[in-house]
Amino acid sequence: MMNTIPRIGQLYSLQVVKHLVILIAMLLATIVHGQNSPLTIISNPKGCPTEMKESELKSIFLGERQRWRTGDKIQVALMKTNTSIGKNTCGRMYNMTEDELKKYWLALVFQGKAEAPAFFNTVGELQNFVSENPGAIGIIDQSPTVSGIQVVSIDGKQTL
Amino acid sequence: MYVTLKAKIWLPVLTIVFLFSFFTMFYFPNREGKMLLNNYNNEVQNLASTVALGVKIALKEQNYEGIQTAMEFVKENSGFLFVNLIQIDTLWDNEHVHFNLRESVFIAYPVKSKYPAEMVSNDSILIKRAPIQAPLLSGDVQLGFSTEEINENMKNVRRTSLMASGGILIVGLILGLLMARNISIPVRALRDAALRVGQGDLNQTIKKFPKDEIGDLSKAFNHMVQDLSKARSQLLQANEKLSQTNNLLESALDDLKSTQAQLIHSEKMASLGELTAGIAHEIQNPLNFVNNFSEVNSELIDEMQDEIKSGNFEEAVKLSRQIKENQEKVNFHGKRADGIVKGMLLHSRSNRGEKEPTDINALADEYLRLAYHGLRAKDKTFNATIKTEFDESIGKINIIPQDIGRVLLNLITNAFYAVSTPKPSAPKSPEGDFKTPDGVFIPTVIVSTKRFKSPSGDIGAEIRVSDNGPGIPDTIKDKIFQPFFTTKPTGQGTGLGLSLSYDIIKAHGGEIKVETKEGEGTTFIVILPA
Repeated sequence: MMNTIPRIGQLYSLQVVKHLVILIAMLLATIVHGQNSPLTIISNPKGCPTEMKESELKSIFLGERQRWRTGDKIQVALMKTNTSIGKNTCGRMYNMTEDELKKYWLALVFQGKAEAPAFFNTVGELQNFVSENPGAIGIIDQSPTVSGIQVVSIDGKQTL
Repeated sequence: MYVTLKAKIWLPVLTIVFLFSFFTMFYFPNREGKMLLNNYNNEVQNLASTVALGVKIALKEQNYEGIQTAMEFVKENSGFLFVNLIQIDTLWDNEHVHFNLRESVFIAYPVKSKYPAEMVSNDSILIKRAPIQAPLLSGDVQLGFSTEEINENMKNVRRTSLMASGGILIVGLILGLLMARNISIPVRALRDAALRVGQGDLNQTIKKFPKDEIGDLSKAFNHMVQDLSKARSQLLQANEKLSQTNNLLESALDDLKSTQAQLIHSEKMASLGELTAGIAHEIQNPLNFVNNFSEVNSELIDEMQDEIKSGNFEEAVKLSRQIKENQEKVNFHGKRADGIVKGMLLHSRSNRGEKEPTDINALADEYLRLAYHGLRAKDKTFNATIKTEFDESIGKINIIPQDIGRVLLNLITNAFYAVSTPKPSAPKSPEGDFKTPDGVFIPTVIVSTKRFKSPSGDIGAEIRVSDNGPGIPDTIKDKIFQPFFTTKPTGQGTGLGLSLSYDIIKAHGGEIKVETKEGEGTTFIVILPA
């Protein structure tokens, strides 16, 4: 009996370790997956075209353009940089760190060069914003789940 | 110090106007300027703080609407020059012991503005800073505003104040002028009119009546002058009447004085008459003796001549002895009459109205007898008992003998009159005497003298004239020394006897008083100083 207990303990700890490793691996995979998940550009049907080039998209998200061709004001909607989508967007769209992006937009707005973008904590909030504001364009990591939103294809692709 | 009404009006008006002007020209703009500047400072500071807050929120929460709104608000201000987002870095030395702070402009708006981070406020630019503490950025928002507008505002305030103070000054001067004219002119008119009224001109009237209290005063003044004029006319008329009445009164007074003098003269004449009657009676007595004995001697001489012719010489010698005796009596009574006349002559000659040492006892005795004989001369039925009680130790007193004699004569005469008046309780008997319930009434007059020592120690004389007449009632006792007061029937007395006596005694520095009791008698007391 006394010999059995240490064996049982050994078996138990091994199992735990195994589960932990699996869990960590899954988490990392999720993170990596999150970071590298494709981004979908959504927009309000009023103003924004259904497709554009990536350079144009970047120009819009860098605040270099203020209005659509229709004349509607462009309203940029982004996920906050402390979200996975936000981090993905910083790297993929802006090639900046989160802090750099904050400072970038601060400088633009401070100097009046661009309208202040709207940052959101959840995708739902972002989608609702885009749906309710003509000229709004945003970046999420999934297909839109809210009506009144269109997906903008970039260089013929539905995702980035 | 005389200050005109105009000056009194101008002084406060000018003081107020100048004070107000000073306030408006200096104090108010100064204060306003400071307030404007202060408000501007606060406004700019608030803007800087708002921008700083917006930056902080933007960096922390990624909410850029705040900073966008703040910047739009800042840019709307007309005085806005620039806003710098200043980053403050801490630079440590190699040993990480000492550090420096380095300020650099992280972002600026307008983009091309060249305002350095170390810039501070001056006369033309107001710089305000607000700190930013965020994880990404530590520094300040530096906000620069032009003071041109505020300076311009302050100039406008000063200009407006100057104009306002000038306007106030002008308005104040005009108001002062109007007030001075509206008040001082009518008041001066009133003053001038009042002065002329005071000098006697009651034809003054104020013709202009301003519609205020001065107008009311002017109307009241006119009424007053009219009333004064009427009153003066009435006074003049009354004065005229008074003057006439005065003339009448003066005339009446002259008449009264004349009558008084006549009455006094009459009184004196009456007393003189009594004196004369007394004197005449005195002389009559010895003269009677002279006449009688002379007649007897004349008869005896005839008898003696007859006896001599008949050779009866013894009888003639007896007759001659009788004649001699009678002749001695004639001589005696003749000398008596001579003495009486000489005494009266001496009395009249010595009367110069001056005081002289006089035997008061002798004077009293003399006038008692004169009075008694005088009354007896008028009325043969008059009879009274006279008694004298003289204090021989009195000696002589300085008096005017005739005056005091007149007083004594008056008092004694009054006493004799009183005792000749029947007492109510004493009906006349068939024999003519008065009978009192306890017996026959014997009219008695007593004249007494006594040495008198005053409280101050002076020696004088007290003379008392007493009678047992009916006495003086209390109701008239206080009036007896009043001029013209008399209880005698009309025509029997002037009423001046006691009044004159009172004056004579007072002139001698003495005193006269009366003690009386109804039904018992009266005593007049004269006190004379030495």
